[in-house]
Parts: sequence; structure tokens; C-alpha cells
Amino acid sequence: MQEKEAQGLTALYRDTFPQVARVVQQLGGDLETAKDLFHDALIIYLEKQQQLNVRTSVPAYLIGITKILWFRKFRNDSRQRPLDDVADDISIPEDFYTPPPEKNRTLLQHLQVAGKKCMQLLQAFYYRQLSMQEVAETFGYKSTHSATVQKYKCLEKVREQIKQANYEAATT
Amino acid sequence: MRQLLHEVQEIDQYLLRKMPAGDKLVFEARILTDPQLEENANCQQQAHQLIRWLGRAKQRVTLHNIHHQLWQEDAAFKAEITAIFK
Repeated sequence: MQEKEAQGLTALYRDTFPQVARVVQQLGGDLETAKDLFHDALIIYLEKQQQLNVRTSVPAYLIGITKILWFRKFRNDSRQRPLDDVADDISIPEDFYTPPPEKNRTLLQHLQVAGKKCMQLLQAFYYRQLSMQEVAETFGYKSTHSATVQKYKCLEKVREQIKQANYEAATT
Repeated sequence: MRQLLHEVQEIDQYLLRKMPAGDKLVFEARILTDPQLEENANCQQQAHQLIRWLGRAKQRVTLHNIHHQLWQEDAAFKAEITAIFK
């Protein structure tokens, strides 16, 4: 993460967490729960930041997501959802609560360690949604074309490892 | 780009919904008749998902570190949070 981005995130955390913590405490949660829910809310916000057209302030949006996550976690009843106006802007990514299949857990650990540069490049494009121009600049490629070729090489490598893991899971 | 990477690119365009409607129909028809292509598309979709999981895991570490840092270095922050949960 760029330093400026990291500073911005720390400032957002500093300003918003006390407000979220107060709400979670009023709902009956403890500090650990407030932290976990707030981190999930921030992750969802950061993922959707580019496509969002947030009508309210960022803290109000984060409080809104935290409440939805709270009700989802503890009540599991959609009728209990808070009807804030922010609720319309919020949707939780569909695979957010789906844990990786068991066969992929080992693979995840392997990928985190091996092929580090590849994973960083893939995350920059597929997770942080940087443009190929930005990816090329961040990773020091001479052109977007060479960064693109590298991106597909890395993706193909991960795809092969998944294929291998699928075969192994099928034969054991 | 060599043939294999062309295929990776094509599947990506399909998965990321960047393929023109006409090409999409042709591609879907090819998947139905080509088990190898179908397997590759499935695995590539799983690859996208793994990248997202890893991205989120990394974000959680970053946020945990921010919390830890504020807790250690910002006395007002710590006092404010402690007061809420006392």
C-alpha cells in the first residue's frame, strides 16, 4: 500500500472506530466484536469505494454496514435489518462469508509464500482494481503490454495449481 | 502472446463480463463442447476467488496493525475506546 493511502486509512480508522464502537456497545457487543465487524465493514467499503456513490458520509456508511453485519451475525434475520437510508447503498460481496474450500486452504498458504511477486501483481489488478497502467508503474514494467503478459502468466500459474489441487482432492 | 495466454485472456474477459454479447454466446457454446476449456474457465474463476480471499486476509492484517498502533501510540484513542466498553 502506498504511504499516503496508509495514512488516509489510519486517519479514517482513528475518526470512525470510536463511533462504530459506541454503536456496537449499545447493541450489546464487546470490543473484540466491534473490532471484527468494523474491519469487515472497512474491507467491504474499500472494495466498493470505486463503484460507490455514497450519499451519506463515509463514517455513516461504515456504521450502516457494521449494523447490517451485526444483525447478520447475531440475529440472522433480514427483517431485523436497520432501515437507514444508507442500507440501499450496501451490499455484502456474495463470497464474503464463504470460507475457502478445505482443499484450497493449503494452496492459499502455499501461494502466500511462493510466488509472492505474482500474487502482489494479481491482487493489485483483481483485488485493488488498479488499472494496468498503474500496475505497470507500481511493479516497474516498461509498458502496460508487458505488465499484462505477466499478469496472465501469473494467473495461469495459479490456475494450474488449482487444477492440481482439484485432481489431488478428487483422488484422495 | 502465446496461444495459452490468449486463452487465459479470453476466459478473463468472459468472467469479468467484458466480452461483447456476440462473442459471449460463441464462447459459451465452445465451453459446452470443450471440456478442457470448461475446466480451465472453472479453475480460473476459483483463482479469482482465491486472489480475493488473500486480498481480504491481507487487509485484515493491515487493519489489525493500524488498531494496534493507535492503541499503543494514541492515548486519547485508547482512553475513548476504553471508556465506551468500561
